[in-house]
Amino acid sequence: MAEPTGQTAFKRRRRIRRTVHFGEPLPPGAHTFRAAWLCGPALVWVTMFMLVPLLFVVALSFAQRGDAGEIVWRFTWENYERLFGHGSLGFDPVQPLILARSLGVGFATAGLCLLIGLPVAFFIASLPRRWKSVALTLVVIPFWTNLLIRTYAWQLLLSPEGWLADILTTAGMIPAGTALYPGWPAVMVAMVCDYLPFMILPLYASVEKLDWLLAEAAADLGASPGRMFWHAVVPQIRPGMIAGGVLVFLPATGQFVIPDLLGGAKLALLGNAVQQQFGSSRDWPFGSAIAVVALLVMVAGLWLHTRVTNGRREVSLP
Amino acid sequence: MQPADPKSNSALAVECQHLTRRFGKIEALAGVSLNVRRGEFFSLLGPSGCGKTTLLRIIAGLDLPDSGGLRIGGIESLRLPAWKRPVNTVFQSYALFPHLSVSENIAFGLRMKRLSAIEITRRTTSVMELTQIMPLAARHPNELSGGQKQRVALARAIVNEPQVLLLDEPLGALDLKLRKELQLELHHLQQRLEMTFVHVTHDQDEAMTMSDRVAVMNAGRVEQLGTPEEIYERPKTRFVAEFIGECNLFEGKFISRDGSRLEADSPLGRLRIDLPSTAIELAEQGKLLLGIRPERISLVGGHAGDNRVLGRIEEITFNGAESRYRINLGKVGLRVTELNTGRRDVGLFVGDSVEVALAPGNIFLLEG
Repeated sequence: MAEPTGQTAFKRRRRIRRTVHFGEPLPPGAHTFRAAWLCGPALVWVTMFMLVPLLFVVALSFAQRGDAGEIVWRFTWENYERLFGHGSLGFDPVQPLILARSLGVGFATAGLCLLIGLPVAFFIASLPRRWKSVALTLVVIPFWTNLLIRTYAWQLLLSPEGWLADILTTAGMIPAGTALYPGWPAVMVAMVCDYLPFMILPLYASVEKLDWLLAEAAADLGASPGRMFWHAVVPQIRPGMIAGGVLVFLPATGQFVIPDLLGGAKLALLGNAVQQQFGSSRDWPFGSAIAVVALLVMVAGLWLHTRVTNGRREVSLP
Repeated sequence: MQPADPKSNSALAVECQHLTRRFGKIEALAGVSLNVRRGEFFSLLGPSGCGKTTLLRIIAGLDLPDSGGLRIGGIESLRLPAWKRPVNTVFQSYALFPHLSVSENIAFGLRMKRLSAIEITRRTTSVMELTQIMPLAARHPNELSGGQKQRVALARAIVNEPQVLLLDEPLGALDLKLRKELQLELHHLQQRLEMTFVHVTHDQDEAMTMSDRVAVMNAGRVEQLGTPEEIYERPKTRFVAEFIGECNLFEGKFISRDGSRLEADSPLGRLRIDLPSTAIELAEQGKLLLGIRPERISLVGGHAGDNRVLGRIEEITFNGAESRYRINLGKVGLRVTELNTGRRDVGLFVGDSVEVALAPGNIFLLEG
C-alpha cells in the first residue's frame, strides 16, 4: 500500500518542528536560511566597515610609534601603561585625569539633561495631539544646524560683547570685558543644549505610554504626590530614562568639539585626546589605546546596567 | 488637617449630599444624595454611563464634584486628597504594579504608612492567607490569571483595613463561572471583616446576590434605593422595573380608590390593585403605569379575589427548571414564567385558551 495510514502521516508531521516566523510556518533549516538572507547585507556592511577597522584599532594599540610618527609593528603594553599613569618620570596623572574627567562630564551631562528633560517630556505628553508634533519638531530643530556652527554661536553669545556678559557685568558679577568662556560652565551649558533632544525623545516616548491608573492606585493606597511619582511613575518611565541616559552619556564622553572651542586646552576630554594623538601628535598607537579603553569603559557600563536590571527581575521570580 | 478617626461613632460610613459632576456637555452626576451605613454591603447598580463609577471615584478622591458635599465616617472629606482618605479601591482593571511582586503589591499601602517591616510582613501574610493567594506571593502580575489578579487587588486594598472599601466592577473582567464563585467569596469576606463595601456594577444579578442595599442609578440620578427585595418586589419607576428582572408593563386609567384598594381600567380589563401606602398619591393621577413580574402571574387556578383575564397561549419556551409563556390577551401580550414543579396536572400547549390570574397585591404602580 502506497497510501500512508492516517497515523504515520500524523507522525511525520509531528517530526518536523514547525515554528511560525515571517508570518508562515517554516522548518528550522529554512528559517535559518531566511534569517541569514535578510540580515546578510547589514552583516556584510557592519563587518567590513566597522568590525574589521575596530580589530585594526585594537591591534594598533599594541604597536609602537616610530620616530617620524610612523607605525612600528612590534608588540608592546607601553601605550596602556602610559594611559594609566606610567610616565618616563614616574606617575603622570594627565591621561588618567582625562579619562576621569570624561566620565564625569558624561554623567553630569546625562544627569542635567534628565532633570531638564523630564518636565519637558511631561509637558509635551500633556499637549493636545495637534501640538505634540509641533513641540517635537521644535525639540529636534537644533539638529538642522551643524554642531560646529552651533558651538561657534555659543562663543559669540558668551563673548565679552554678548548680552549675557552685559547682564552679568551690570549685575556686578564679572568685571567688564570678560568672556564667559573658556571654562566648565560654558562647556556644560553647550553640552546640555546639544544632547537635550536625545534625552527628551526617549523620555517622551515612555511618558506618552504611562498608565496613569497606576498613579491613581498609588494615591489610593496612601502615597503622597512625591512618593506616588517615585513608586508608580518612575518605574514605568525607567526604560526611557535609561535609553536617554545612554544616548546622552556615550556621545558626551567622546565629545571633542565643544570642550575644544569652549573649554580651552585645560579641559581636554577623551575625544580631544584621541583627536590629538591621531592628529597633531601623530601617535596612532597611543590614540588607539585611548579609544580601546574608552570603548571598554562604555561596554562595561552597559553590561553592568543590563545585569542589574535583569537581576532585579530574576530575584523575584518563583 | 484633622486625621480621620476609624473609631468615629457615626453610624454612616459615607454621606453624599447633592453631588453633581459634569464632563463637558455630559451630566455624569445630577445631584446624588445617599448614605451608606457602617458595615453594610452597598451596591451602585446601573447601565454604563449612569454615573456610578464617577460617584465611586469622587468618594475615593480621584475625582472632584462640581458641587455637593461628602462625609466619610462623619468627617467632611471633599478637601482631603485621595492619599489621606480612609478608603481603598479595587480597580476594575486591577491596576497592580507590574514591577512589584504579589507580596510587594499587597505591602504597598502599609509601606506608605511607614509601618515596621515586621508589622508589614505579619499583615501581608495574614491577608494572603485570608484570600488564599499565599502560593503566589513571589509572582509578578503578568504571571497571574484574571481571577488571581482579582484576589491580589482585593488583598492589596483590604490589608490597609480601610473604613470603606470601594469596588469598581471588581468581577467584570472574569468569566461567568468564576464570577459566581467570587461573588459568594466576596460576600462572605465582607461579613467576616465587617467592613463597609461600596460596590459598583452593571450586573443586576451580582448586585442582588451580594448587597444589603442597592442604589439603582440612571442618567446621573438615583432612581431607587433599597434592599434587593424592595427593589425587585416594589420597583418605583419604569426604569427600575425594566432594568431589574423581567416585567410586564401596561397603561391604565384611574377609576376609583377605597383605602389602599384601587380600581383601574386597563387593556386587560378592569383590575383591582392593592397599593402600599407609599404609592397612594401616585394613584390619583388619572393615567397610570402598571406592571407585574412574569412569575407572579398564575396560569389556571390562582386564588379567590384575583383578577382573571382570558387569553390564548402564543408561544412556549421550555427552559429546564421553568417554562416561559407568551399569552395573547387581544389588545396586549403578557409574559408568564412558571416553575416546572409538575404539580399542575393539565399540560398546556400553544393555541390553548387559559384563564390568567393576577393577584391584586402583585401589581405595582410606577412613576413614568
